[in-house]
Amino acid sequence: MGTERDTPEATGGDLGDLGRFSDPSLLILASLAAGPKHGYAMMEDIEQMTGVRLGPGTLYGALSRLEQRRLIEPLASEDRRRPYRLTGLGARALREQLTSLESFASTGLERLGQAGALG
Amino acid sequence: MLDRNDARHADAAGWARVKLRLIHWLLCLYPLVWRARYADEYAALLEEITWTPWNLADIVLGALDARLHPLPLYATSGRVSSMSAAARRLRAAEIAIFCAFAGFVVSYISFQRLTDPSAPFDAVANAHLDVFLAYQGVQAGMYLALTAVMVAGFPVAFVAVRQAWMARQWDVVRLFATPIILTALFLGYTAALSLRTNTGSLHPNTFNIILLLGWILFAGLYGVVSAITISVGVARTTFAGRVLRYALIPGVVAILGMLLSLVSGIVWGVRLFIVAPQIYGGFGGACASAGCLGPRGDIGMGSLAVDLTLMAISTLMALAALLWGFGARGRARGGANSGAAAEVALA
Repeated sequence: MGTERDTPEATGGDLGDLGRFSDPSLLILASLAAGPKHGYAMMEDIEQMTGVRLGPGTLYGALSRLEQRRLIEPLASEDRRRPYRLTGLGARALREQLTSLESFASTGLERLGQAGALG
Repeated sequence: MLDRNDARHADAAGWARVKLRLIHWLLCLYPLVWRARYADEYAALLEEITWTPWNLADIVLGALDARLHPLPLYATSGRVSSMSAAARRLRAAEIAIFCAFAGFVVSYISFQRLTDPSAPFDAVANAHLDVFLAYQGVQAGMYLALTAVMVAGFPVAFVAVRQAWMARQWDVVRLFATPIILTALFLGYTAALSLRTNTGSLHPNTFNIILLLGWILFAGLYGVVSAITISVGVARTTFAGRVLRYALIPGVVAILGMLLSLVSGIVWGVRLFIVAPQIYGGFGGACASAGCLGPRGDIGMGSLAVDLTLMAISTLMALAALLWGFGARGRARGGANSGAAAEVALA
Protein backbone atom coordinates (compact mmCIF):
# COMPACT_ATOMS: atom_id res chain seq x y z
CA MET A 1 0.00 0.00 0.00
CA GLY A 2 1.05 3.57 -0.39
CA THR A 3 3.73 5.07 1.76
CA GLU A 4 3.65 8.59 3.13
CA ARG A 5 5.62 9.81 0.15
CA ASP A 6 3.16 8.14 -2.22
CA THR A 7 0.56 10.84 -2.12
CA PRO A 8 -1.97 10.80 -4.98
CA GLU A 9 -0.52 14.07 -6.24
CA ALA A 10 3.07 12.83 -6.06
CA THR A 11 2.42 9.70 -8.11
CA GLY A 12 -0.23 11.02 -10.44
CA GLY A 13 -3.36 10.23 -8.43
CA ASP A 14 -5.12 13.14 -10.11
CA LEU A 15 -7.20 11.46 -12.80
CA GLY A 16 -7.85 14.69 -14.68
CA ASP A 17 -4.69 14.42 -16.77
CA LEU A 18 -5.62 10.99 -18.11
CA GLY A 19 -7.48 12.60 -20.98
CA ARG A 20 -10.19 10.40 -22.45
CA PHE A 21 -9.30 7.74 -19.87
CA SER A 22 -10.12 9.88 -16.82
CA ASP A 23 -13.79 8.93 -16.66
CA PRO A 24 -13.23 5.20 -17.29
CA SER A 25 -10.45 5.29 -14.67
CA LEU A 26 -12.80 6.74 -12.08
CA LEU A 27 -15.39 4.08 -12.91
CA ILE A 28 -12.78 1.33 -12.56
CA LEU A 29 -11.59 2.66 -9.20
CA ALA A 30 -15.19 2.85 -7.99
CA SER A 31 -15.79 -0.71 -9.15
CA LEU A 32 -12.67 -2.01 -7.42
CA ALA A 33 -13.66 -0.22 -4.21
CA ALA A 34 -16.09 -3.11 -3.69
CA GLY A 35 -13.27 -5.68 -3.98
CA PRO A 36 -10.83 -7.21 -6.49
CA LYS A 37 -12.23 -7.94 -9.95
CA HIS A 38 -10.96 -9.09 -13.32
CA GLY A 39 -11.68 -7.20 -16.55
CA TYR A 40 -15.00 -8.75 -17.53
CA ALA A 41 -16.38 -8.49 -13.96
CA MET A 42 -15.40 -4.80 -13.93
CA MET A 43 -17.25 -4.20 -17.22
CA GLU A 44 -20.35 -5.90 -15.85
CA ASP A 45 -20.17 -4.12 -12.50
CA ILE A 46 -19.66 -0.68 -14.09
CA GLU A 47 -22.59 -1.24 -16.44
CA GLN A 48 -24.78 -2.28 -13.52
CA MET A 49 -23.61 0.69 -11.43
CA THR A 50 -23.80 3.45 -14.04
CA GLY A 51 -25.36 2.09 -17.20
CA VAL A 52 -22.08 2.74 -19.03
CA ARG A 53 -20.58 -0.22 -20.92
CA LEU A 54 -16.82 0.23 -21.26
CA GLY A 55 -15.24 -1.15 -24.42
CA PRO A 56 -12.35 -3.63 -23.94
CA GLY A 57 -9.79 -1.25 -25.47
CA THR A 58 -10.90 1.59 -23.22
CA LEU A 59 -10.94 -0.68 -20.16
CA TYR A 60 -7.36 -1.89 -20.68
CA GLY A 61 -6.13 1.56 -21.71
CA ALA A 62 -7.37 2.85 -18.35
CA LEU A 63 -6.20 -0.24 -16.42
CA SER A 64 -2.63 0.08 -17.70
CA ARG A 65 -2.54 3.76 -16.76
CA LEU A 66 -3.94 3.11 -13.30
CA GLU A 67 -1.44 0.31 -12.74
CA GLN A 68 1.36 2.56 -13.95
CA ARG A 69 0.33 5.16 -11.37
CA ARG A 70 0.09 2.51 -8.66
CA LEU A 71 -3.57 3.25 -8.05
CA ILE A 72 -4.42 -0.41 -8.67
CA GLU A 73 -2.33 -3.57 -8.60
CA PRO A 74 -2.63 -6.95 -10.27
CA LEU A 75 -3.16 -10.10 -8.26
CA ALA A 76 -2.18 -13.64 -9.19
CA SER A 77 -4.14 -14.68 -12.26
CA GLU A 78 -7.09 -17.03 -11.93
CA ASP A 79 -6.89 -19.25 -14.94
CA ARG A 80 -6.03 -16.59 -17.55
CA ARG A 81 -8.15 -13.81 -16.04
CA ARG A 82 -6.13 -11.50 -13.84
CA PRO A 83 -7.95 -9.71 -11.02
CA TYR A 84 -6.94 -6.23 -9.90
CA ARG A 85 -7.38 -4.51 -6.59
CA LEU A 86 -7.33 -0.96 -5.34
CA THR A 87 -4.13 0.18 -3.61
CA GLY A 88 -4.13 2.52 -0.61
CA LEU A 89 -3.09 5.25 -2.98
CA GLY A 90 -5.95 4.39 -5.34
CA ALA A 91 -8.44 4.46 -2.48
CA ARG A 92 -7.25 7.92 -1.49
CA ALA A 93 -7.37 9.16 -5.10
CA LEU A 94 -10.90 7.78 -5.46
CA ARG A 95 -11.99 9.40 -2.21
CA GLU A 96 -10.61 12.76 -3.34
CA GLN A 97 -12.32 12.50 -6.72
CA LEU A 98 -15.66 11.49 -5.21
CA THR A 99 -15.46 14.20 -2.55
CA SER A 100 -14.75 16.75 -5.27
CA LEU A 101 -17.68 15.43 -7.33
CA GLU A 102 -19.93 15.45 -4.28
CA SER A 103 -19.03 19.07 -3.57
CA PHE A 104 -19.61 19.91 -7.24
CA ALA A 105 -22.96 18.09 -7.27
CA SER A 106 -24.20 19.73 -4.07
CA THR A 107 -23.16 23.18 -5.32
CA GLY A 108 -24.91 22.54 -8.62
CA LEU A 109 -28.03 21.27 -6.91
CA GLU A 110 -27.98 24.20 -4.53
CA ARG A 111 -27.78 26.62 -7.48
CA LEU A 112 -30.54 24.77 -9.25
CA GLY A 113 -32.65 25.12 -6.11
CA GLN A 114 -31.97 28.84 -5.99
CA ALA A 115 -32.77 29.16 -9.70
CA GLY A 116 -35.98 27.24 -9.07
CA ALA A 117 -36.88 29.60 -6.22
CA LEU A 118 -36.17 32.57 -8.45
CA GLY A 119 -38.15 31.07 -11.31
CA MET B 1 -34.12 -31.79 -35.54
CA LEU B 2 -30.86 -33.58 -34.76
CA ASP B 3 -29.34 -32.29 -37.98
CA ARG B 4 -30.31 -28.74 -37.07
CA ASN B 5 -28.62 -29.13 -33.63
CA ASP B 6 -25.52 -30.57 -35.26
CA ALA B 7 -25.44 -27.66 -37.69
CA ARG B 8 -25.83 -25.22 -34.81
CA HIS B 9 -22.95 -26.86 -32.91
CA ALA B 10 -20.83 -26.81 -36.04
CA ASP B 11 -21.62 -23.13 -36.52
CA ALA B 12 -20.73 -22.39 -32.89
CA ALA B 13 -17.46 -24.29 -33.17
CA GLY B 14 -16.70 -22.53 -36.44
CA TRP B 15 -17.40 -19.12 -34.89
CA ALA B 16 -15.23 -19.99 -31.87
CA ARG B 17 -12.34 -20.76 -34.22
CA VAL B 18 -12.92 -17.56 -36.18
CA LYS B 19 -13.11 -15.59 -32.92
CA LEU B 20 -9.79 -17.01 -31.68
CA ARG B 21 -8.17 -16.17 -34.99
CA LEU B 22 -9.67 -12.68 -34.88
CA ILE B 23 -8.43 -12.17 -31.31
CA HIS B 24 -4.97 -13.26 -32.42
CA TRP B 25 -4.95 -10.70 -35.24
CA LEU B 26 -6.36 -7.94 -33.06
CA LEU B 27 -3.73 -8.60 -30.40
CA CYS B 28 -1.07 -8.30 -33.08
CA LEU B 29 -2.12 -4.66 -33.48
CA TYR B 30 -0.82 -3.97 -29.96
CA PRO B 31 2.88 -3.29 -29.25
CA LEU B 32 5.02 -6.24 -28.24
CA VAL B 33 5.76 -4.92 -24.77
CA TRP B 34 2.05 -4.36 -24.17
CA ARG B 35 1.25 -7.90 -25.33
CA ALA B 36 3.98 -9.37 -23.14
CA ARG B 37 2.20 -7.88 -20.16
CA TYR B 38 -1.50 -7.96 -21.00
CA ALA B 39 -2.13 -10.30 -23.96
CA ASP B 40 -3.22 -13.31 -21.95
CA GLU B 41 -5.78 -11.61 -19.73
CA TYR B 42 -6.92 -9.36 -22.58
CA ALA B 43 -7.49 -12.39 -24.82
CA ALA B 44 -9.51 -14.01 -22.00
CA LEU B 45 -11.66 -10.86 -21.82
CA LEU B 46 -12.14 -10.72 -25.61
CA GLU B 47 -13.32 -14.33 -25.55
CA GLU B 48 -16.04 -13.37 -23.04
CA ILE B 49 -17.43 -10.15 -24.50
CA THR B 50 -20.21 -9.83 -27.04
CA TRP B 51 -18.77 -8.90 -30.39
CA THR B 52 -20.19 -5.69 -31.79
CA PRO B 53 -18.76 -3.22 -34.34
CA TRP B 54 -18.39 -0.71 -31.48
CA ASN B 55 -16.29 -3.18 -29.45
CA LEU B 56 -14.19 -3.96 -32.51
CA ALA B 57 -13.55 -0.25 -33.11
CA ASP B 58 -12.73 0.21 -29.41
CA ILE B 59 -10.13 -2.58 -29.56
CA VAL B 60 -8.50 -1.01 -32.63
CA LEU B 61 -8.49 2.40 -30.94
CA GLY B 62 -7.01 0.80 -27.83
CA ALA B 63 -4.17 -0.64 -29.96
CA LEU B 64 -3.55 2.76 -31.51
CA ASP B 65 -3.45 4.34 -28.06
CA ALA B 66 -1.03 1.67 -26.78
CA ARG B 67 1.27 2.40 -29.72
CA LEU B 68 1.07 6.16 -29.24
CA HIS B 69 1.63 5.92 -25.48
CA PRO B 70 4.05 3.05 -24.83
CA LEU B 71 4.52 2.34 -21.15
CA PRO B 72 7.65 1.23 -19.29
CA LEU B 73 5.91 -1.94 -18.27
CA TYR B 74 8.75 -3.68 -16.48
CA ALA B 75 8.10 -1.32 -13.60
CA THR B 76 4.33 -1.37 -13.79
CA SER B 77 3.27 -1.83 -10.21
CA GLY B 78 6.60 -1.80 -8.43
CA ARG B 79 5.37 -4.57 -6.17
CA VAL B 80 3.87 -7.20 -8.42
CA SER B 81 5.95 -8.10 -11.46
CA SER B 82 4.09 -8.73 -14.68
CA MET B 83 6.14 -11.90 -15.16
CA SER B 84 5.14 -15.05 -13.32
CA ALA B 85 7.47 -16.33 -10.59
CA ALA B 86 8.38 -19.31 -12.78
CA ALA B 87 9.28 -17.07 -15.74
CA ARG B 88 11.39 -14.85 -13.48
CA ARG B 89 13.20 -17.92 -12.18
CA LEU B 90 13.83 -19.09 -15.74
CA ARG B 91 15.20 -15.67 -16.65
CA ALA B 92 17.47 -15.65 -13.57
CA ALA B 93 18.72 -19.15 -14.43
CA GLU B 94 19.59 -18.08 -17.97
CA ILE B 95 21.43 -15.00 -16.72
CA ALA B 96 23.38 -17.25 -14.32
CA ILE B 97 24.30 -19.60 -17.19
CA PHE B 98 25.48 -16.62 -19.24
CA CYS B 99 27.62 -15.32 -16.36
CA ALA B 100 29.07 -18.79 -15.77
CA PHE B 101 29.93 -18.97 -19.47
CA ALA B 102 31.65 -15.57 -19.24
CA GLY B 103 33.76 -16.97 -16.38
CA PHE B 104 34.49 -20.04 -18.48
CA VAL B 105 35.72 -17.87 -21.35
CA VAL B 106 38.20 -16.14 -19.01
CA SER B 107 39.64 -19.48 -17.85
CA TYR B 108 39.70 -20.71 -21.46
CA ILE B 109 41.69 -17.67 -22.58
CA SER B 110 44.11 -18.27 -19.72
CA PHE B 111 44.34 -21.93 -20.78
CA GLN B 112 45.15 -20.84 -24.32
CA ARG B 113 48.02 -18.72 -23.04
CA LEU B 114 49.59 -21.85 -21.51
CA THR B 115 50.44 -23.21 -24.93
CA ASP B 116 51.85 -20.00 -26.37
CA PRO B 117 54.27 -20.43 -28.15
CA SER B 118 52.79 -23.64 -29.47
CA ALA B 119 55.78 -25.29 -31.19
CA PRO B 120 56.74 -27.67 -28.29
CA PHE B 121 53.11 -28.62 -27.78
CA ASP B 122 52.58 -29.18 -31.50
CA ALA B 123 55.53 -31.56 -31.48
CA VAL B 124 53.95 -33.63 -28.66
CA ALA B 125 50.53 -33.50 -30.34
CA ASN B 126 52.02 -34.74 -33.63
CA ALA B 127 53.60 -37.66 -31.85
CA HIS B 128 50.55 -38.57 -29.74
CA LEU B 129 47.13 -38.65 -31.35
CA ASP B 130 45.28 -38.68 -28.01
CA VAL B 131 47.02 -35.47 -26.91
CA PHE B 132 46.13 -33.90 -30.24
CA LEU B 133 42.49 -35.01 -29.96
CA ALA B 134 42.22 -33.86 -26.35
CA TYR B 135 43.48 -30.41 -27.29
CA GLN B 136 41.07 -30.26 -30.23
CA GLY B 137 38.31 -31.28 -27.80
CA VAL B 138 39.07 -28.23 -25.64
CA GLN B 139 38.73 -25.99 -28.71
CA ALA B 140 35.67 -27.78 -30.11
CA GLY B 141 33.86 -27.62 -26.77
CA MET B 142 34.53 -23.92 -26.48
CA TYR B 143 33.34 -23.18 -30.02
CA LEU B 144 30.23 -25.29 -29.46
CA ALA B 145 29.46 -23.43 -26.22
CA LEU B 146 30.13 -20.05 -27.82
CA THR B 147 27.85 -20.82 -30.78
CA ALA B 148 25.08 -22.04 -28.46
CA VAL B 149 25.33 -18.93 -26.27
CA MET B 150 25.09 -16.74 -29.38
CA VAL B 151 22.12 -18.73 -30.72
CA ALA B 152 20.37 -18.29 -27.35
CA GLY B 153 21.59 -14.79 -26.67
CA PHE B 154 20.84 -12.94 -29.89
CA PRO B 155 17.05 -13.51 -29.89
CA VAL B 156 16.89 -12.68 -26.16
CA ALA B 157 18.94 -9.51 -26.67
CA PHE B 158 16.87 -8.61 -29.75
CA VAL B 159 13.59 -8.96 -27.84
CA ALA B 160 14.98 -6.99 -24.89
CA VAL B 161 16.32 -4.12 -27.04
CA ARG B 162 13.19 -4.00 -29.18
CA GLN B 163 10.93 -3.85 -26.13
CA ALA B 164 13.11 -1.27 -24.45
CA TRP B 165 13.16 0.84 -27.61
CA MET B 166 9.39 0.67 -28.07
CA ALA B 167 8.73 1.43 -24.41
CA ARG B 168 11.38 4.18 -24.43
CA GLN B 169 13.31 2.53 -21.63
CA TRP B 170 16.51 4.34 -22.50
CA ASP B 171 18.36 3.00 -19.47
CA VAL B 172 17.89 -0.55 -20.81
CA VAL B 173 18.84 0.53 -24.35
CA ARG B 174 22.02 2.09 -22.92
CA LEU B 175 22.83 -1.16 -21.10
CA PHE B 176 22.76 -3.11 -24.37
CA ALA B 177 24.57 -0.35 -26.29
CA THR B 178 27.51 -0.48 -23.83
CA PRO B 179 28.97 -3.85 -25.02
CA ILE B 180 28.62 -2.73 -28.66
CA ILE B 181 30.54 0.48 -28.01
CA LEU B 182 33.14 -1.41 -25.94
CA THR B 183 33.54 -3.96 -28.76
CA ALA B 184 34.24 -1.17 -31.25
CA LEU B 185 36.78 0.41 -28.88
CA PHE B 186 38.41 -2.93 -28.13
CA LEU B 187 38.71 -3.79 -31.83
CA GLY B 188 40.21 -0.36 -32.46
CA TYR B 189 42.74 -0.82 -29.63
CA THR B 190 43.63 -4.33 -30.85
CA ALA B 191 44.00 -3.13 -34.44
CA ALA B 192 46.32 -0.31 -33.33
CA LEU B 193 48.39 -2.77 -31.29
CA SER B 194 48.55 -5.24 -34.21
CA LEU B 195 49.69 -2.45 -36.49
CA ARG B 196 52.54 -1.61 -34.14
CA THR B 197 53.52 -5.29 -33.93
CA ASN B 198 53.42 -5.74 -37.71
CA THR B 199 55.46 -2.64 -38.37
CA GLY B 200 58.03 -3.84 -35.86
CA SER B 201 57.63 -0.85 -33.58
CA LEU B 202 56.55 -2.82 -30.50
CA HIS B 203 59.95 -2.63 -28.77
CA PRO B 204 60.08 -3.46 -25.04
CA ASN B 205 60.13 0.16 -23.86
CA THR B 206 57.98 1.75 -21.15
CA PHE B 207 55.41 3.15 -23.56
CA ASN B 208 54.85 -0.17 -25.28
CA ILE B 209 54.66 -2.05 -21.98
CA ILE B 210 52.01 0.42 -20.78
CA LEU B 211 50.23 0.01 -24.11
CA LEU B 212 50.23 -3.78 -23.74
CA LEU B 213 49.19 -3.72 -20.09
CA GLY B 214 46.47 -1.22 -20.99
CA TRP B 215 45.20 -3.63 -23.62
CA ILE B 216 45.10 -6.51 -21.11
CA LEU B 217 43.31 -4.29 -18.57
CA PHE B 218 40.89 -3.05 -21.21
CA ALA B 219 40.21 -6.63 -22.36
CA GLY B 220 39.37 -7.62 -18.79
CA LEU B 221 37.14 -4.60 -18.22
CA TYR B 222 35.49 -5.13 -21.60
CA GLY B 223 34.54 -8.69 -20.65
CA VAL B 224 33.36 -7.89 -17.13
CA VAL B 225 31.41 -4.73 -18.03
CA SER B 226 29.80 -6.40 -21.07
CA ALA B 227 28.70 -9.43 -19.04
CA ILE B 228 27.28 -7.20 -16.28
CA THR B 229 25.43 -4.76 -18.58
CA ILE B 230 23.90 -7.56 -20.67
CA SER B 231 22.82 -9.41 -17.52
CA VAL B 232 21.25 -6.31 -15.95
CA GLY B 233 19.53 -5.45 -19.27
CA VAL B 234 18.02 -8.93 -19.51
CA ALA B 235 17.01 -8.82 -15.83
CA ARG B 236 15.09 -5.59 -16.48
CA THR B 237 13.16 -6.99 -19.43
CA THR B 238 9.75 -8.63 -19.36
CA PHE B 239 9.93 -11.73 -21.55
CA ALA B 240 7.29 -14.05 -22.92
CA GLY B 241 7.75 -17.61 -21.69
CA ARG B 242 8.30 -18.78 -25.27
CA VAL B 243 11.52 -16.75 -25.58
CA LEU B 244 12.86 -17.97 -22.24
CA ARG B 245 12.01 -21.60 -22.93
CA TYR B 246 13.66 -21.34 -26.34
CA ALA B 247 16.88 -19.96 -24.82
CA LEU B 248 17.16 -22.87 -22.40
CA ILE B 249 17.76 -25.43 -25.18
CA PRO B 250 20.93 -23.75 -26.53
CA GLY B 251 21.82 -23.32 -22.84
CA VAL B 252 21.94 -27.13 -22.54
CA VAL B 253 24.18 -27.31 -25.65
CA ALA B 254 26.44 -24.59 -24.21
CA ILE B 255 26.92 -26.56 -21.00
CA LEU B 256 27.65 -29.73 -22.98
CA GLY B 257 30.30 -27.74 -24.87
CA MET B 258 31.78 -26.49 -21.60
CA LEU B 259 31.83 -30.05 -20.23
CA LEU B 260 33.54 -31.31 -23.39
CA SER B 261 36.12 -28.55 -23.12
CA LEU B 262 36.72 -29.22 -19.42
CA VAL B 263 37.04 -33.01 -19.72
CA SER B 264 39.29 -32.64 -22.78
CA GLY B 265 41.42 -30.14 -20.86
CA ILE B 266 41.85 -32.59 -17.96
CA VAL B 267 42.68 -35.46 -20.33
CA TRP B 268 45.12 -33.23 -22.20
CA GLY B 269 46.88 -32.19 -18.99
CA VAL B 270 47.14 -35.74 -17.67
CA ARG B 271 48.30 -37.26 -20.97
CA LEU B 272 50.83 -34.47 -21.46
CA PHE B 273 52.23 -35.20 -17.99
CA ILE B 274 52.56 -38.89 -18.86
CA VAL B 275 53.99 -38.66 -22.38
CA ALA B 276 56.00 -35.43 -22.10
CA PRO B 277 56.72 -34.62 -18.44
CA GLN B 278 59.62 -32.40 -19.52
CA ILE B 279 57.11 -29.90 -20.91
CA TYR B 280 55.98 -28.97 -17.41
CA GLY B 281 58.13 -26.21 -16.04
CA GLY B 282 57.44 -27.01 -12.40
CA PHE B 283 54.66 -26.23 -9.98
CA GLY B 284 54.56 -22.46 -10.48
CA GLY B 285 51.57 -20.27 -9.71
CA ALA B 286 48.88 -18.94 -11.99
CA CYS B 287 51.30 -16.71 -13.88
CA ALA B 288 54.08 -19.22 -14.23
CA SER B 289 53.10 -20.12 -17.74
CA ALA B 290 55.17 -19.88 -20.85
CA GLY B 291 52.87 -17.24 -22.28
CA CYS B 292 53.19 -14.95 -19.29
CA LEU B 293 56.86 -15.11 -18.63
CA GLY B 294 58.25 -15.52 -22.10
CA PRO B 295 58.86 -18.14 -24.77
CA ARG B 296 60.09 -20.92 -22.53
CA GLY B 297 58.05 -23.66 -24.16
CA ASP B 298 56.84 -25.19 -20.91
CA ILE B 299 53.88 -24.74 -18.60
CA GLY B 300 53.39 -24.30 -14.89
CA MET B 301 51.50 -27.11 -13.20
CA GLY B 302 49.84 -24.49 -10.98
CA SER B 303 48.63 -22.50 -14.01
CA LEU B 304 47.01 -25.53 -15.57
CA ALA B 305 45.40 -26.51 -12.26
CA VAL B 306 44.02 -22.99 -11.72
CA ASP B 307 42.63 -22.79 -15.26
CA LEU B 308 41.01 -26.21 -15.10
CA THR B 309 39.58 -25.47 -11.65
CA LEU B 310 38.06 -22.20 -12.91
CA MET B 311 36.63 -24.03 -15.92
CA ALA B 312 35.16 -26.68 -13.62
CA ILE B 313 33.63 -24.08 -11.26
CA SER B 314 32.07 -22.20 -14.21
CA THR B 315 30.69 -25.42 -15.69
CA LEU B 316 29.24 -26.54 -12.36
CA MET B 317 27.64 -23.13 -11.81
CA ALA B 318 26.07 -23.26 -15.26
CA LEU B 319 24.86 -26.81 -14.67
CA ALA B 320 23.32 -25.88 -11.30
CA ALA B 321 21.58 -22.87 -12.89
CA LEU B 322 20.30 -25.06 -15.72
CA LEU B 323 18.81 -27.63 -13.34
CA TRP B 324 17.26 -24.83 -11.28
CA GLY B 325 15.84 -23.24 -14.44
CA PHE B 326 14.46 -26.54 -15.75
CA GLY B 327 12.33 -26.81 -12.62
CA ALA B 328 10.54 -23.64 -13.71
CA ARG B 329 10.44 -24.40 -17.44
CA GLY B 330 7.10 -26.19 -17.46
CA ARG B 331 5.48 -23.63 -15.18
CA ALA B 332 6.79 -20.68 -17.22
CA ARG B 333 4.48 -21.45 -20.14
CA GLY B 334 3.11 -18.08 -21.08
CA GLY B 335 5.93 -16.29 -19.25
CA ALA B 336 4.67 -12.75 -18.96
CA ASN B 337 1.31 -14.21 -18.11
CA SER B 338 0.30 -17.77 -17.56
CA GLY B 339 -1.61 -19.02 -20.58
CA ALA B 340 -1.39 -19.86 -24.22
CA ALA B 341 -2.88 -16.68 -25.63
CA ALA B 342 0.22 -14.62 -24.98
CA GLU B 343 2.16 -17.31 -26.80
CA VAL B 344 -0.19 -17.04 -29.76
CA ALA B 345 -0.09 -13.27 -29.64
CA LEU B 346 3.68 -13.14 -29.58
CA ALA B 347 4.10 -15.77 -32.28
